[in-house]
Amino acid sequence: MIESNFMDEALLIQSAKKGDLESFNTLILEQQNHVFNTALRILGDEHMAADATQEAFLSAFRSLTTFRGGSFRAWLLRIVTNAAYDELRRQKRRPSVPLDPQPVNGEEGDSPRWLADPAMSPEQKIEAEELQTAIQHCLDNLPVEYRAVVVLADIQGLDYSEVASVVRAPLGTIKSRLARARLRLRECLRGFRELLPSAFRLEGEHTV
Amino acid sequence: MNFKDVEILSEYLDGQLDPDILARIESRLSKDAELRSVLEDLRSSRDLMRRLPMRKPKRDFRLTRAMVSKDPPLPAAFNGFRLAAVMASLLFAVTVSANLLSAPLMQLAAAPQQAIGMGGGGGGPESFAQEAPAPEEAQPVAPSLGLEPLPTAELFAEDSTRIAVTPEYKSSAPTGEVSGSGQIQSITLWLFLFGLTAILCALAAFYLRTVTITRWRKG
Repeated sequence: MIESNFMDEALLIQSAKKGDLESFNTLILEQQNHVFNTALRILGDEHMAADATQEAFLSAFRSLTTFRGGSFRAWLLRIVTNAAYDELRRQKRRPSVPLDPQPVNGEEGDSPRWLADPAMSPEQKIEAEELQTAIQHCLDNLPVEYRAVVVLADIQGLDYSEVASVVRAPLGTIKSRLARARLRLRECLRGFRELLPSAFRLEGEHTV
Repeated sequence: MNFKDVEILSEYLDGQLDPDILARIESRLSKDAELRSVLEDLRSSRDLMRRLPMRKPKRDFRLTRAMVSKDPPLPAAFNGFRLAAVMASLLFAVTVSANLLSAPLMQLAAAPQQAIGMGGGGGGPESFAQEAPAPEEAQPVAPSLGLEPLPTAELFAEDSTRIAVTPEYKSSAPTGEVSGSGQIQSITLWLFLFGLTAILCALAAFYLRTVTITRWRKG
């Protein structure tokens, strides 16, 4: 089944390379959740993430002939990561305060897996949403190069070599950034201990 | 414990360690409670990230023809032809420039050599002027032999205002012309090849682009 999907993907890419927009749009439908969520977790803002995603797909279509095989998702994630970096640089140059700031996690979207339980009370749902906000807050506090690595490895599930090819850094750098990011996230989330599911509430503090 | 240990624990969590390092860290983990605690921290951090929900975008990111119509994807051969056209044009320009520059330089280089051949190095423009009349002195010889002066002699006579001509120079001149014309032919050939390549590649790139865009617009 996976092999047949891979074949389908290869055929769609081949066809899109010849200019078939419908084939490329089929690929977009398959990948847009991953691409959008990567941008969202790096940028921490839904509108900016949507813009970066659209820009990434447009750019991917235009440079599709440079795709030389390998993981198509990883290739798209590289493009969207760069688009997110560009967006952050633009933000840095022209910082703006939204007139009506919206919390990232207070909007519609798929529920977290711990929200999937229909028996969950409204209070528990609110807590779960707050936890999501807390996690995004901790991600936002990471240096952007650590954030990208942890998003790609731990949220998107890419392996080390794929992350290295996406952010164009050596494997050793990826391992180091990932370890530091995980430690920093843990330290940050300690501040939201009461929001964490019981399995994640650890007491110990370490100095490394 | 140092940061290297944390890195190893992070890799351990992802199953990325070599067997020998894996055995060593497992042995240490069985004895060291702090190490185990850090491992649990890293694990909980990673698991929380993994449990973050995938949010559904509110927007459809599919592309429309209007969004991409200005820039349809061009075949890889287009870039190849374009690059070849640019390279050939550059080579053409470099060859022309080098040729234009080298001609006066060769003349300048030739002048002192003539002077050296004439009179032991002479010493600058003044000595050129003094020595210049030498061919004129030779002119009366021709009528006395009943011969018309050769056109080349006139040419040399004219040149004598600038360059003192010696018999050695005259005798060597035809050889120089032969090698010079050979060089010119070779340069002309290269210029022709570079120019032709540039034009053909540019035409091929233009053709590919036009065909791709036409097909694209037809849908």
